[in-house]
Amino acid sequence: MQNLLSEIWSSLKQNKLRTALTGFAVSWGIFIIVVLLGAGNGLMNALMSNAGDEIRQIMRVYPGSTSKPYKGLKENTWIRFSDRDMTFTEEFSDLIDDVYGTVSFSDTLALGKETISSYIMGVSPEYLKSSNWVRLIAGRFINKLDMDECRRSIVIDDSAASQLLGDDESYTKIIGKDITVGLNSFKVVGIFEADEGSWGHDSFAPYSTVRKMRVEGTWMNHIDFKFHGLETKQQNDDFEKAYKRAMSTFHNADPEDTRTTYIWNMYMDNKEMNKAMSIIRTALWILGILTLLSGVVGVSNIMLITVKERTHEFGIRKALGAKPGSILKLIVVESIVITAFFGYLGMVAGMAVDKLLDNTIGAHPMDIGVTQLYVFKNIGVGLDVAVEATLLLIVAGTIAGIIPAWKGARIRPIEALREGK
Amino acid sequence: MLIELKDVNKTYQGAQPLHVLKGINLSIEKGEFVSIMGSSGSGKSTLLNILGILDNYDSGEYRIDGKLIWDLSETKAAEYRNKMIGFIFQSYNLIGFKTAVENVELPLFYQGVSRHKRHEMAMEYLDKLGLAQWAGHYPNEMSGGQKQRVAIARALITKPDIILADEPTGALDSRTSVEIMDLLKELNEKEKMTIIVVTHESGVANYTNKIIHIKDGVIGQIEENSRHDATAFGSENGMLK
Repeated sequence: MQNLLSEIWSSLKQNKLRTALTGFAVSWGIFIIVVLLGAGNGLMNALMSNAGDEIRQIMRVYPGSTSKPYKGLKENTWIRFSDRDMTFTEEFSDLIDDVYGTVSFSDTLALGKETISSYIMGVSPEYLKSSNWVRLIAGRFINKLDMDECRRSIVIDDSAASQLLGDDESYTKIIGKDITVGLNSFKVVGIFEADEGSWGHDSFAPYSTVRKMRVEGTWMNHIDFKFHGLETKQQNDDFEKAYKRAMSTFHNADPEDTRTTYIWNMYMDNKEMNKAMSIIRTALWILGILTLLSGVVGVSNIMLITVKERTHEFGIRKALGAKPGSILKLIVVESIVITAFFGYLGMVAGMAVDKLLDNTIGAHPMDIGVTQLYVFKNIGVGLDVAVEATLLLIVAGTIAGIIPAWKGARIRPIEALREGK
Repeated sequence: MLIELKDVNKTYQGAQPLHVLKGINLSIEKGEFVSIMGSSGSGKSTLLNILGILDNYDSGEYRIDGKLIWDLSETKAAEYRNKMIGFIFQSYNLIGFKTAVENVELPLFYQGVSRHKRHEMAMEYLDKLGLAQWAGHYPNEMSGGQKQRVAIARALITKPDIILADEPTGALDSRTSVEIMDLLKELNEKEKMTIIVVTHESGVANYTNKIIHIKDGVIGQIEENSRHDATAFGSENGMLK
């Protein structure tokens, strides 16, 4: 191998400019791939901050209203969810694992003299996982102990925290403090990042606690349930249909009435999203590979010229005992060395540009008036892409070298020797 | 018998097929120093190519040391060339971007000899030809005679059965030509190398012990020349040119 490399080195040294120009084409190709994929990843990360997470199998059911009269129930009657709607899902117990309800009310949060109004949701610990917009930045979320013991714990948003504390910048100090919610005292256990787009404040308390406080007519906002075993779109659709029918029947509405409940199937949504993202990713790869292809053609072209120029030399080598295989190897390895070396440079440059982009446009959200929006987030490629790109380069180098190498190996020594004269 | 050709025929196919070798019969023994002489178009280059396993023949039989050279794969032919034949060309055919010593090493590279070993051997051969101090020089830094001596070192390094020299003095001035022919003669006498020189110069042929005349694709006269007085076409005094 060392012999082969020193042979290649001396031949590359012969044509520095040509080697550099060819190398540039390859570098450029792989550079484009890395930047495209990096930017694509950034775009997708911004679209879905939880990209890469496993797909959660959760459905959220909202109450609706009847769309037709049925057995004395008038049209446009609002359906209301109560605790019974949660136990009712036992009918589907082979598919549904856990059910969580959410109840809410609006009230005043107060700490000392500072007061703000907030929309307080009684949720289960699982709520955090099913809601992309809630990003915990300090403390913890509602946990199982809060639920089981009906503790008066509350999670508030960061702007609420700093308002309640006054001018204090270090709003995390509010964790552990007791605040007044309406007439009750709650302990702040965590802070989440307020959604830039949301109006007013949101807070979270244990479902069980809120449920207990609001005995009179506790209607639920929605019911979440975790399920399993629904893989295809057909299975999901069938399940949703059956669930709606059961729900309508349960609420004495027409079983065929589909508007009594609305189902948000996060699993299918995520699945569709992932599908869309994989299409984007594939499209970016294809674009990148097409760009790289021009580099490969360049290398191939140069190798063909090299073979042509070195015909006489190959003739000498063959006369001295070089086998066709050794000529073939010499050219293919030379092609791989050029492609891999310059490709690697391109990859490193591409990663550097990704990093630069991430620190500039990736770090600043775009202001669109009412709210701010991240267009790119975490621009860059992972180790997997780097490894894939490296493999791609080796394959590309081999492809680029194979035709010239084959031509070189087939040179007949007498013709080759004659050529130089 | 080291080299044996029996009724070797070669035709170049084309619009006008050219029958170049018309039944060549030839035997060369180990340790002989012979020349194949003929004018251009006589078929001597084709014969040389066949002898050097650089080209194939259409019919007949060619054996080196009893081994039949027929229908060889490129790989096998390369292996035979590497082991059995040392080439010396008119235009030296050194690789320009390799130093003298690297050029001499090349046949050993294709034998898979280790880097260190082949360098050592190449230096030894260069030294033998008085070029040790030129080892690190590139061909374009050397004179014609030096280049040809590097080529001879390269031909000798694998200890081949046959040295094939194709117009070895064709590109050299007369003084250097004499040096090179003296060197070949010495190799034949001291090292018992079998050397076949292809030439159209009688002065060169006169150095050899046997002159095989080839004309229109057939072997003509075979001249014993142990007294080195064959000056039919050469200059006076048997000198070259």
